[in-house]
Amino acid sequence: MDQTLLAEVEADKRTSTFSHYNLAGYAGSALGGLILSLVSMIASKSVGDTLLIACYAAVGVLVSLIYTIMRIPGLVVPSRQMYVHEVAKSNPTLLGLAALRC
Amino acid sequence: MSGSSGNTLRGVYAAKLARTVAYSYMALLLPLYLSSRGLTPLEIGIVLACVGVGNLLMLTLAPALVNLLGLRRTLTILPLTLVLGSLLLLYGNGLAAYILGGLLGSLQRHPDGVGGATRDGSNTPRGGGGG
Repeated sequence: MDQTLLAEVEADKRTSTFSHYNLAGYAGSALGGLILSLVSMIASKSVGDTLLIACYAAVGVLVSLIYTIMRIPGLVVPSRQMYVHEVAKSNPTLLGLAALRC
Repeated sequence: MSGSSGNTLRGVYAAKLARTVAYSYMALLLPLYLSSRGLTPLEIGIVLACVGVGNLLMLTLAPALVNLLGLRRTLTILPLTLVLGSLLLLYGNGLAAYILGGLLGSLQRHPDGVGGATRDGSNTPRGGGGG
């Protein structure tokens, strides 16, 4: 859903914005693997597991806080009729793609 | 988006970074953790399948949630499901608690899903006018 915000940037900056967004994702992914291995080296299994799951909860709070303090621009929401019409058109494709992802 | 767009984007990047760090280690940790809590491979598979169901639910319900609550509220409230999911994983007892924990923990996950950002970035939503 946060990608909705990225689509709001000016057209000439959109590619770099999405690149940076994906870069943050890849960096986070690598960092997460590193953190897991470091914690498993340093702490015992039970303590490490508890610590990491607690950090998982803390990430939820952190992300929520980020979006609370962030200035989110208003989005133009299409009319209900237009929305229903367009979703109905693309529903089979969307459902197929969602099924593939699972 | 202009003016404060830099701050907004930095916030989005920070949130993305924090989420993917957590998701990537959790994707590896969850099966091991459940195994250490005494679940059989079949039960662990069921919990992981529910994580996938959570993703599917989120992808299906997200537009309706945004229409109902607004984007800011949705983005603010959904990450808190991670807290509930974590509490259930830590203090829950039994398969049902872990299933619910897996479901709740995955509700905020969306396309970058299990394994971090390796499958991410393909869905660019329609731009609105905004400001």
